[in-house]
Amino acid sequence: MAAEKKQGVFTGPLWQNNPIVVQVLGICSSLAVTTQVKPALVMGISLTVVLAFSNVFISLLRNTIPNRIRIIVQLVVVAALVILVNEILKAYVFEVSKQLSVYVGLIITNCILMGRLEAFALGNKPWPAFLDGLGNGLGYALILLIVSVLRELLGSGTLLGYNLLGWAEQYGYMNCGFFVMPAAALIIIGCIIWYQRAKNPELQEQA
Amino acid sequence: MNRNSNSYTVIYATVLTVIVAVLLALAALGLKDQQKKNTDNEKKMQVLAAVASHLDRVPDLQNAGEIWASLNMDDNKFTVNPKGQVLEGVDPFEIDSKSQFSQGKVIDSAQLPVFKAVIGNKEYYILALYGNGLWDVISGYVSVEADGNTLAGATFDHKGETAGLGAKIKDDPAFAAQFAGKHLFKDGQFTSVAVLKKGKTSEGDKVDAITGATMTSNGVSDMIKNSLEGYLPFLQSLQNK
Amino acid sequence: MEYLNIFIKAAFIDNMIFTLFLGMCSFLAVSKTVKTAVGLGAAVTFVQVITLPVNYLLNKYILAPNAIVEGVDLSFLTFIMFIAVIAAIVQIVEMVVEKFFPALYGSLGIFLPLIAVNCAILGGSLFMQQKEFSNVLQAIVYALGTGLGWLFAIACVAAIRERLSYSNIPAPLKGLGITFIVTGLMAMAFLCFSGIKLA
Repeated sequence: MAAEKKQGVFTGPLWQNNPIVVQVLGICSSLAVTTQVKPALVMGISLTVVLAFSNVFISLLRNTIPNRIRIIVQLVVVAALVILVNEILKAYVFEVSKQLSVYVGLIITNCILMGRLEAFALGNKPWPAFLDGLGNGLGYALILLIVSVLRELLGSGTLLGYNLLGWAEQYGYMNCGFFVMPAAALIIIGCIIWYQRAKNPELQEQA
Repeated sequence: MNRNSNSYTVIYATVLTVIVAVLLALAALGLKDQQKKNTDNEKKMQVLAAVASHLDRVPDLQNAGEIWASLNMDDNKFTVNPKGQVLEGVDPFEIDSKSQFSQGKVIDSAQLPVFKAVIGNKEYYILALYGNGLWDVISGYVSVEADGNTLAGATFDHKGETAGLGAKIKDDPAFAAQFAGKHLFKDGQFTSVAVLKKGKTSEGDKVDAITGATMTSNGVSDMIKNSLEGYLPFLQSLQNK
Repeated sequence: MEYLNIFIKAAFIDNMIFTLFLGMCSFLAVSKTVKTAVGLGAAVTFVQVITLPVNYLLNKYILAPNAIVEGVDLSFLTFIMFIAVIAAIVQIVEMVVEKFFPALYGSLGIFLPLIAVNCAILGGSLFMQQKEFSNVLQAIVYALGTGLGWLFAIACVAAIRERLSYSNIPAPLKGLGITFIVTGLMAMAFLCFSGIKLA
């Protein structure tokens, strides 16, 4: 029973309870980094790491945090982790960190973090909190990956920088510049939501 | 222990701050060298991009440091002032371009970097450019042949030009490639190289502007003229050699 | 003219919502009716105009390399300092508004705590740091531009959503899905602003 519950904590957020398309958290910084797959992957991994570890730390500290400065303590823990990630990215994957620019910093205000910390980590033990963070982070990364694959393939004809559709140009194929533009990301996510809610009618809104 | 008392809150906040500060400072210190190496490599890559067509491989972030070392770039760099004199003790690599300009013109006390690249048996002098585009700062490097007149290549960078239009000064290699072989002087007079719409002519050499990005193209044109004006005496001394 | 340029670019061309995707979470949650949307937009503008200049000065005189002591680079602390300043200012603003302007508090008050974790505020400060403005006035104009641009965007989409509730939308698209698509279409409309420069 307990094992089953833990598994739900991890796998739920991957699709059924996905942070982006179901909980509507963390859309802020995620859309701008999806024009190419590589920055989207790095962003997804960075967020997963920050989310998993901040969940663990807050869960460890949950019985000591003074209630009045709860939010600030969470922000400090998250900000510290984000700075660490940012410094590491700058040192080891410099090119991608330039592409991500301020969006790494914006992980701090990513609603997934505050949402999960408040909703899960403050009331659970470290290990489930870690799984919850991992699951939500990967759920976020999954959506980022879907959006970025579509945008890079259709917008620039490449995947991870490798030219895949160059051969089609002689038959009159042209890359669709629309997918590189910001608007495309919103519409793709709209369509993912559409698909998911058509499959899971219980998620549909009444309004 | 009362978790809601003032003293507990203050102590908790203090301890947390100290722990976080120490951790971050350690991490920042530990990774500083690697980060500096990256930003240095990026700058080396940009400088080398001005002579990229004369190199046997395209400089990128990974190999820029290697190419730089193989060309002995560190031994052949120097700093000049707008009078053409060489300044001793100033590392051209560490010069901040922004502070050498006031209202788009090179200031009298400016320190201007020169990177000399010897490739094969030819010498190229790589000079720094700095100016304003449509939205934000643009910058770049041009390489001049040993005659002090013929351009051997150029590279541009920008901070916030319009994607797909003005951003092409960086993204479209065909734009920068136009500069190779152009002349900065005509009959001994500095005419710079103008960036003009197709069909228009100027007194000196020109390259074609980017369609739909007139303001950025004008910015590049002004940047080359204004930045190279600071190098004029240096270029003339090359011509008189 | 330079200030007008900064303003236009911040408000329309680099619109926080339509091109930079900042502040989307609260944007989606609160854009159901025009009245609350305008309330949140006004609160964002208000906080933006106060925090951004403070962060500008903080960045210039404390965090920038060699700002305090020659050779000391504190820029790695940027994120934590900015977010601390934002959280603190939001708290102070909330207290001040509650005490001295009860009417304003009635309309803005519920939004203020939300704003501390609104990406538009932290994002504004981080973009400001990247843009290297030369004086604090430019930073204020930039703050005003981003804030009003955000207000404009959320008000537009809220107005559309009010009308949408009378339309016949496929069930799976209702609510969130159609909002995304509407926002996407609005973003396309905003593309036409790119390339504008005044004088």
